[in-house]
Amino acid sequence: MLLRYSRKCTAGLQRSIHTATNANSLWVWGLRSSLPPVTENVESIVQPKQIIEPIQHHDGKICSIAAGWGHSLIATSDGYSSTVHSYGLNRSGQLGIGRQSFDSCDRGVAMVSDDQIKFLAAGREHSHIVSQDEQGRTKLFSFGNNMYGQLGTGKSKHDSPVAEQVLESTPVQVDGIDGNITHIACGLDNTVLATDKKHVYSMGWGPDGQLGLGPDSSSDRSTPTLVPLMEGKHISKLAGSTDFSLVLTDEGKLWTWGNSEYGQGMLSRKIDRILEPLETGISDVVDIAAGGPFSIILKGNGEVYSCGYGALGLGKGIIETLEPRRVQIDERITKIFAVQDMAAAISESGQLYIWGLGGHAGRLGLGHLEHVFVPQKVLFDDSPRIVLDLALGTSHAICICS
Amino acid sequence: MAARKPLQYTLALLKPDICANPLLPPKIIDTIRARELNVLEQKPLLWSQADAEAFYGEHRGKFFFERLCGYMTSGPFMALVLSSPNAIKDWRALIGPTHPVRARINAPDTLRALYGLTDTRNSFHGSDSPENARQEIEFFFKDFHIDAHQK
Repeated sequence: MLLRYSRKCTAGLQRSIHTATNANSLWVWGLRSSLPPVTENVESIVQPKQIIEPIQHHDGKICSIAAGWGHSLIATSDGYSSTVHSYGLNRSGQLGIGRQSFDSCDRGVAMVSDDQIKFLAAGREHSHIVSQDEQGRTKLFSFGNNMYGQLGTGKSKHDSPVAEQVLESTPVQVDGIDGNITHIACGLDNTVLATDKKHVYSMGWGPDGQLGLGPDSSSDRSTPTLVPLMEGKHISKLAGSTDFSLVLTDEGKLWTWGNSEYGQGMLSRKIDRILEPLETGISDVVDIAAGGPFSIILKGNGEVYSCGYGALGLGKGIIETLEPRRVQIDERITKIFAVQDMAAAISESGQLYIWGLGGHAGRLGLGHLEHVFVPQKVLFDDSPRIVLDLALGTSHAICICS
Repeated sequence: MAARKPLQYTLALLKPDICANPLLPPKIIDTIRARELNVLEQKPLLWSQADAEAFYGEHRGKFFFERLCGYMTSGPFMALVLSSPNAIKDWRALIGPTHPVRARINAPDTLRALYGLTDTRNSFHGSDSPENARQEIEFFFKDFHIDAHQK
């Protein structure tokens, strides 16, 4: 659910140059109903499959990818304009294609823009697009389920005592954010974002402290709301995928808030709800990733540490730890990823390692449905691939290779 | 002829995260039937906060009350009446332990291990006793009378 910005789509380049240098390939695996179309008519894609469609159709290059609970967003650019393609479940309009889909999955285009697409983010049933104009000014657009106010548009189920669905099936621009957006991450039903004015905002579901607003505040918020304790801090990364957040400051310090029932907040103890940001005391962190009942961090020396509960990458004998423990990977790691039940790491040489709980969708991409307790290398096809970026959804994955 | 064990009834909920995926409820109902549980009634619902608080009133004051009600009002869900000679136990065995996160490791064949999302979004409910089943069925299905069915 993390959203990643893989390669800058520089608007204004000549089309010929752009297509000639577009050697990136797009790979997917996991639950087919959440993914762009693949030729196989099976429920689960257990090994990476290359897809050509969004790139081919648009004659463009991939700028950004995001994977939610049951849907996928892929932004491409042809050098003149950007397009956001959506695939998967659309019961609450999370594809942003102007309709809800009640029978199965759907697909379409959520947005075409002259601006660059800087970030995409996807939660359980909600989505965000962050665009950036030539002056570097960002705009936030939201669509999908808005029951908790996770879209930040000022609406939610709390507006009415009568039960009714609150959603947006086309992108709606969100106001009230001071500065340009530098980071955004979705939990399952909440969103956290940071700006270059040193603000952190949150919105959506709040009962476990997902919004980090303070000791007396666990109610939902339907507009971007300042997280007081993060004011004035320069954020170098935000992470979330479920019901808690990790925040990395430019000093390499790690903060957390939200659910920490399994010790996933890396505070050496279990805490049901952390209602305002706590500093973990862990330093020298260069990357962070928040799963469901666990989290992982990357240290400056390229080592990965894991904490919480689940298939932590620490072997079958260690499924629970309150202290971060080192995940054995033979290479130096440069980027890490996590979602509810699985985690992944890209190495210096461009290899992708993955571990976590298996399941019916084949979401680990390792050719089987079993749990994987130590990191395994993901194999793409016969030719060697350099992995550039990854988006992990609850039961699916999207990967960009060179 | 030996007397057959009378049918037992239970309330089942397919909670909002299950119903958010239109592919899942039909699949789960097939699984229920394959386990020889009869689906006697089914009804789609959307709850207000007051509805959720009325059903979960016994948990008021507990730390998870707020998130339980918040989750149950996050979208449409389904209530079902199931029957079999041991419906309460059968359905609870099929859905598995309360916490999906642990169920995926400890009880991997249960519905919560397969489809449960988080410990809060645990996807299914089943009555835990004949008395509660009676009350819960009455809460959702005013016109369903267990005694009339048992005759």
